[in-house]
Amino acid sequence: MSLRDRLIPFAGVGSFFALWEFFVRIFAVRPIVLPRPSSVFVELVTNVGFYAGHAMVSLGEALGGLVVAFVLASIVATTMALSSTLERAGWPLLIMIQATPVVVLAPILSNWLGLNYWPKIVVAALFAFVPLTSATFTGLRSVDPATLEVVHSVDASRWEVLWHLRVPYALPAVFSVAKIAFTLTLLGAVIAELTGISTAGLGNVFRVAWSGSKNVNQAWAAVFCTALLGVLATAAVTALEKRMLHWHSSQLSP
Amino acid sequence: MSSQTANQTSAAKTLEIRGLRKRFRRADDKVIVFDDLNLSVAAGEFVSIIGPSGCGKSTLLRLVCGLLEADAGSITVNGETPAEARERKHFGFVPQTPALLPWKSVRQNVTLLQSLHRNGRLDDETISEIIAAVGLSAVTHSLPGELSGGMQQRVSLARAFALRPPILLMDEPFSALDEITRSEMRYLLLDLWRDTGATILFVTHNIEEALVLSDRVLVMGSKPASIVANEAIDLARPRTEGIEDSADFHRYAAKLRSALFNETRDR
Repeated sequence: MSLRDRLIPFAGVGSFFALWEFFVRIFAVRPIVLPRPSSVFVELVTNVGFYAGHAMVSLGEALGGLVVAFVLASIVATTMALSSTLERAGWPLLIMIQATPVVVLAPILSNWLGLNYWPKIVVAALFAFVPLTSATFTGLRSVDPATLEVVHSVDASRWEVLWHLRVPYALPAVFSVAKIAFTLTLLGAVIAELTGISTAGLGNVFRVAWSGSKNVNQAWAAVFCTALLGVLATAAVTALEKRMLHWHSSQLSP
Repeated sequence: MSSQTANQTSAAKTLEIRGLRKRFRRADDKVIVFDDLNLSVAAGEFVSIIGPSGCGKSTLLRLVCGLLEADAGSITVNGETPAEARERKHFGFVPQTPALLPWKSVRQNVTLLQSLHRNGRLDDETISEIIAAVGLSAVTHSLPGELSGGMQQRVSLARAFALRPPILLMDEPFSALDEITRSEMRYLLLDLWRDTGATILFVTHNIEEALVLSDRVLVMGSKPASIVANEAIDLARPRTEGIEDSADFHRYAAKLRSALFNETRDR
């Protein structure tokens, strides 16, 4: 990749903020409506330690949620892929979970689990669980039929087929959704913090800044931080994908 | 026209099919029907099955291999049921596509089937010999995605032969290859077969391919799926390139073509 190709994504983000700054200055928009991105960045840089600390809290909850969602999704998707009865029983439940406004559950979960990181991890996990399960299931079922016949011709067991064929064949689908799933768990964690069951994390920073004195720059700095974390999370999963799926056609340069 | 039951009478039968009945709906909704199909194949014999598309050639291979269950009748492979033979890894199955695992190297693909179900691992040297026999020594550690279609199909052949199976079932393995590669693969297959003495059941829709390879060619028709011609191919072995131009070859080709086209017209 040339230097130019590497710079293009940054140019896109840079132009976005430049236009925003330009718009706010030209029309003299009041900061309570929309602040200048430059003043948000100044707030962010001056108190970088404060934001980094809260970002780590949210990131920890998001990672915890991702791990929980991934483990549960693997178990549920594998069970459904191996049994068509459980598959038919499973889908309505999954759709129900996906349609539930999980955030509403946050205070209830807090009642059950206490005022600690667990309610946030559960909410984060619920944000990503169904997309991960669905992708893993589709991946496990996407084995090449001819390859399946070849291994059946030597009487390979269900578990051998699962381990040698289905799991590796599922990885591309799992990774493509894992990129989104990480940002989803991050959103889940931050939104759970917003509901007031938290004393730390970026969601809590926003809630405190916005209520009462309306510290606009601090509230927006928390939003920027969350977005930045999301970008970093996606980049981390992409890097892992590149390492593990070097054989897959989606990783070959055009 | 030869009768379905007019089979060879040699004692050592690797494959015996008696009164096979099967009704089967394929994924594309075409219904395949076998009614009282009989066939015997002698040990070490190379038998090709040709027939129009959708006549049930591939279904027959899958029934022999036990990947599909027959409704009635019997199939025995060296005196065992297909399920028993499969359990003992007595089949080398070569599908139409190479069906390789894209994340495993050529060598790992060749040895894949040995580690599955029950361990029958060959020593490293033997595996290297098999890879050399199909002319892939230089790319042992390459991934399938880095190989041409013909090379991938060589890996698929090596994978089947590496099991040292008494019977090989091949389902149009060369049909997706270009004409030159196709011709090379036929002679490569003959070399591999000569070295192992395995029995081969080879499905194709190419008359020339069937003639170059086989001891016997069966022409299959449909409705119900049955063997409408059974032609012993008495061409000298080893067969080498140029055999396609001999007068005998042309005579056989004409005979098979007329059997095949009669069948297609009747439908």
